[in-house]
Amino acid sequence: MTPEALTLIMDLVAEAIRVEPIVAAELQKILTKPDATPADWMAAKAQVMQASYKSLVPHSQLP
Amino acid sequence: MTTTMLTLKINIKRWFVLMTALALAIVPLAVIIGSGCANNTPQTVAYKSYTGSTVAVQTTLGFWDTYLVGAYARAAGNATNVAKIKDQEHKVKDLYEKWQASMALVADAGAVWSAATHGTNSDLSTSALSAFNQAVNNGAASYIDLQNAVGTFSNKPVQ
Repeated sequence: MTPEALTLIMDLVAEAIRVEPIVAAELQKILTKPDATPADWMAAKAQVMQASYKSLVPHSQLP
Repeated sequence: MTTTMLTLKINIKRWFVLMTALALAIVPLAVIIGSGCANNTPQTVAYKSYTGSTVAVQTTLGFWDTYLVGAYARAAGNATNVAKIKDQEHKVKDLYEKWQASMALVADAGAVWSAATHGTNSDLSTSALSAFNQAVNNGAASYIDLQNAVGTFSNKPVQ
């Protein structure tokens, strides 16, 4: 990855964090994880599977 | 178009651009940070990319929800347009559920890979990594399809 691309990515992330502070908290949790075990993978899978379309899109008009 | 609607449209577009950029940035960022830290195993770097893309997709659906509020409000009283928006919703929902299913396979493969690398059988570790890479490729395709659909629909709202 070129230094220019790295700078661009850092700028984009900084802008996203400035606009939406919750992004900073989520990134902090993700990037400070010390090690990944099979249990971590299963917990991540559960988090994905629990988030239904309807829970993420509460204004959906689908039945 | 009223000033309020124009402002909302600009904000939604800006939000989408930011979230797409963030989603694209998370994976290389995790790899960069992971590769620069001796305590991070390849499994941990992959795990960070996985959870990062999960946050990005869930944030994108939050954006999609905001878009739908405006879209349904504009289409109120026009059954044809409401039906068109519902059709878009069906497509996004289907793509999200495909992404969920593919990410479940990535996590399963990641768990096997992580367990295999802590064992002593290097053949098992190699085959687990291969299965993991295949699952990641499928997951990445689902991810791109979902992001593209949300971007396409929201940038050309039903009129």
